[in-house]
Amino acid sequence: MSRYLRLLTLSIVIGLLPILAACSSNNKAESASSAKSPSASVSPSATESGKAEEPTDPRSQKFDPPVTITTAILDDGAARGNAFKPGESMEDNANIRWMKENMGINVKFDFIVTKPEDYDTKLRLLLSSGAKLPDAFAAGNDPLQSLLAAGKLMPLDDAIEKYAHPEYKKLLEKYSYALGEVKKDGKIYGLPAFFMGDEGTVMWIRKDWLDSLGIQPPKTLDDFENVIKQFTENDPDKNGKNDTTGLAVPLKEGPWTWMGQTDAIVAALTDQMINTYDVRLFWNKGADNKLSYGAIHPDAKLYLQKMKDWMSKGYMDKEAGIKDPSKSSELVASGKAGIMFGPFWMGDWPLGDATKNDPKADFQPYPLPVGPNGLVGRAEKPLTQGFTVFNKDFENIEAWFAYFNKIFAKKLEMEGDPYFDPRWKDGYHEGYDYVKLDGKVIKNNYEAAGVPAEQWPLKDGGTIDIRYMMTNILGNFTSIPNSNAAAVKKFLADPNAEPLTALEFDVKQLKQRQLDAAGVRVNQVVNEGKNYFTGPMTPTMKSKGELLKKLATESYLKIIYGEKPIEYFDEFVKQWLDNGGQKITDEVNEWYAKNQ
Amino acid sequence: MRYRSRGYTVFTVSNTIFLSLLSLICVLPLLHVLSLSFSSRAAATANIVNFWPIGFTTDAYVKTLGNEMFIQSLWVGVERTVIGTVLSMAVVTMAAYSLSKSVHKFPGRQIYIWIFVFTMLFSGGLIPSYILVSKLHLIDTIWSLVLPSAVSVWNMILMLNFFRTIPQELEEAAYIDGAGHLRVLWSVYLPVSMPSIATLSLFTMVFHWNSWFDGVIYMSNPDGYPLATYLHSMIVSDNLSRVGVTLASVENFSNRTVKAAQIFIGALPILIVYPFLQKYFVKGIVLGSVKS
Repeated sequence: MSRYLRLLTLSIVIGLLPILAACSSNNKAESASSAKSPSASVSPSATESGKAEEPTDPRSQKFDPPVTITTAILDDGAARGNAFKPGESMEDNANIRWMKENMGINVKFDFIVTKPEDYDTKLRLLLSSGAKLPDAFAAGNDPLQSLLAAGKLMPLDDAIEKYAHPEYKKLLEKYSYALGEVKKDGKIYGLPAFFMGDEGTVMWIRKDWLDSLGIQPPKTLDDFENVIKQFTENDPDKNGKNDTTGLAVPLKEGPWTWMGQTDAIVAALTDQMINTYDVRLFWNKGADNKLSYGAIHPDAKLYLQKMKDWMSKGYMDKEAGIKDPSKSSELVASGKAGIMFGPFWMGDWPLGDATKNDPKADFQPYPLPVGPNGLVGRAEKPLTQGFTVFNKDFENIEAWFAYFNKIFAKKLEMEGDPYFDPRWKDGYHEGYDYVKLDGKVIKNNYEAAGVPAEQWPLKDGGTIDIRYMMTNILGNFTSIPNSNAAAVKKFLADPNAEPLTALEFDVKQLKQRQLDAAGVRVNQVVNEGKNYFTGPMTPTMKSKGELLKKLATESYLKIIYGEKPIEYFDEFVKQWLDNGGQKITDEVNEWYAKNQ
Repeated sequence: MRYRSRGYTVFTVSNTIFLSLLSLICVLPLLHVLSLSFSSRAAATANIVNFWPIGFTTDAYVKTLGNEMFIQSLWVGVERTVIGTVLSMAVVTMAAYSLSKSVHKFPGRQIYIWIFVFTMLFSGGLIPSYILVSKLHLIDTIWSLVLPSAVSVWNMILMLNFFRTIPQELEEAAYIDGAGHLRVLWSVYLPVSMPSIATLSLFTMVFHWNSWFDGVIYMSNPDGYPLATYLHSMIVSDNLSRVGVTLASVENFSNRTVKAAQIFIGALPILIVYPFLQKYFVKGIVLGSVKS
C-alpha cells in the first residue's frame, strides 16, 4: 500500500514540476519588464530631445556609430518570383550592404517565415516566452492586439511628427479611418501598410458567347438577367448540349469574397454593403451616424430575392453554395459559365486559362450593371493589410524613418522632394532592378533590348522582384492607395508608351486583359461601399463571431436555394441580434462614437 | 491442393473484387496527383484532369527540381529522418532493454516505467517546450527537430513488451558464454527482434517525414525547414479576403500542377522505403530457438 502512496506522491510532484517552472519564469519576466518600463518610457524621449538639433539633409543621412535594427519578415520563397541573385539571400544582399555602407544601418532578421499563420505563431511564441521582440516588424489581427494589451509596443505620435515624410503624414490623415486597430488611448501604435486598392470588382463576360447569341453587353441589372438567362438556355457555345450556365459565383463565403463576389449586385439594389463571412465586414453608416451590419439590413431581402430567383431558374451555378472562389473559377476556366465578377487580375488566372483550354473563349471586362433605381457600385476592399509596429525599447526609430522616408519618396516620385535620394533616380540598385545601356535605363526584356548577357541581373535574362530586398526593416512594403490610376490610363491610351516611373513599369507588366480591366474599373467611377468599422475585434465578436458568421451565411444560402421563404429573413435577423449581434452592434457604435 | 467447392469460389471472387477495390481507393488519389503534376496549368485550373495528364508537360518537375528551397528542404527532411530514426531507435531499444528486466535484476524498474508513462499522459505544452529548446540553444539546429521526439514512450513500451516475450534461456546462454549486457542486447536481442525494429523504425520514419509544426516553431529561417514544413506552407492557401493580391500571389495559387509535383516527390521516399522493410515483417526466429 505504502508503495503506491509513494508512487502517487512522486508522480504528483513530477507532474507539478513544469507548472512550477512556468510560474517562476513568468514571474521573472514580469518583474524584469516592470523594472524596465519606467526607465524605458523615459529614455527614448530623452535621447530624442538630445538628438533634435537642426535636421541634417535627409538624403545623405548616415548614422555613426552604425545602428543595428532587428526585424522579422514573411517571405514566401515559393510564391514570389526571383528576388535575389544566386548566392544572395534575404539576410545578405545588395540592399543590406548598401544600407550598411551608405546609411550606417545594420539589418538583422530575428526570424523569417513563409506563411502568415507561421508569422503569427512566431510572434505569439516570442510574446508568451518573454523573449525579446524585434525592433520593427509587421503585425496584424490577434497578435497585434495581444502586443498592444501587453504594452510591448511604442506609441508613435511623436516620432511621426518629428521624422515622417510630410506626404506620408497627409496620407495617414486622409486614411485615418483605417487606423482603428492600432489606436489605444488616443495614441497610434502602428503604421499601416496600405495596398493599392485596385481590386474593385469588374464584370467579366465571355464576349464570344455574347456575339454568338447576338446580344449586347448588359448595362442594367435587367439586361444582366437577360444575358445570364440566354447563356443558360440558348446554348451559347453551340455544342448542342444544355451544359452551360450564366453566372459562376462562389456562395460558400457569402456575397463578398476575393473573387467571384457579388458586391456589384448588392450595390445595384441598395446602398448597403453586405458580407456574411466576417462579422467585421461590412458596417454601413446610417443617416443617424450610427453603424449597422449590412447583412441584417432589410434591403438585403432585395438581393436575396434576386439571387433566389436566378438560382431557381438555373441561371447560376447550382453548386455555388459549396464552392469557394478557386473552385468556382473552374467553371469559367472549363467553359461552362459565361460571367464571373472579380478583380482586374483575373484576366490572367483563371480567365486566361479558359482561352488556353478553348481558343475561342474570350473573357472581356465590362462596367458593372446599373440597378432599377439607378444605383451602381462595388465594395471597397479594406485598405490596410497589417501594420508595422515597434518594440517599446527600440531606440533608433530615427534611423528607421530615415530608410522609410527614402523608400516612400521613391514611391511618390514627386518633383523637388527633399527626401528623394538621387542615387535611386533610375531604380534602386543597378544590376538588380535595372541596367544601363548607353545611358538608357532598361528594366526588363534585357535580351530584346540588346543588353549583353554579362550585364543581365539574372543568368536567364529574367527580372528581379526588388521589393523583397527593399522591404527588410519596413515590415510591409506599403503602396499609396489608388496611385496607379493615372498609369493605367496612360497605357490604355497608348500601349507602347515609355514607362517613366517605377509605378508605370509595374503597370506595363500587366497582361492586356488585366490592363483593360483595370481601365474599366478606373473609368467607372462609382460609389465604393466602405466598411466603417476598422477597430480591433470587440469582445463579443471574439466570442460570438464564428457563430454569427455561420448563422448568416447559412441563412442566406437557405433563402437563395429556396429551402426557406424570403420571410425567413426576419427570423434570421432576430436570431442574429439575440445571439450576440445586438451586443456587437452596441460595441461597434461605442467604438465608432469614440474614434470617428 | 485446390478447393473446388462453390462456396470457396464465391469467396475467392468476392475477396479479390473487394481487395482490388480497396487498393484502387488507395492508388487512385495518388494517380490523380501524378497526372495533375504532368498536366498543363490551364487544364488544372479548369479541373478537367482525372487519371491521365491533359496537355502533357514536365514543366512542374523542371520548376520543382530547379527550386533551391525545395531541394534544400528535401535534404533537411532526409537528414532529419535519418538522424531522428537512428537516434530514436537507439534510445528506445536501450531503454526498453533495461526496463524489460525483472524487478530482481533491476530494482526500481516500476518507478522508472511510471515516470516514462507519465510523460505520455502529460506534456509541457507548446510554450514551455519552446522555452526549453531555446534555453538549450537548439533553435535553428537539426537537433531541435530530433531531440524532443527522441524518446517515444509508446514505441518503447511496444519494444519492452516484445523483449519480454524473448525466452530468458537465450539470454542466460549468452551470459554463460561470458557476454555482458551490451553484448546480449546487440548479439541476442536485436537479431531476434528484427520484425519489431523494422515496424518501429517505419513508424518513426513516417513520423519524422510528416511532422511539420516543429519546423515552423524551431526554425527562424525557411532554409532550415524540413520538407513537410515546406510543403505545408506551399499547399495551405492564404485567406485572401483581407489582404491585397499581388500578381505574384496570383501566380502562386494558380500553380496546382507544381504543387502536385511537389506532393508526389515528397511522398516518394517513404513509398520507396516500404518494400525494403517488407522483408523484415516476417516472424522472428525466436520460434524454435529454445528446446525445453
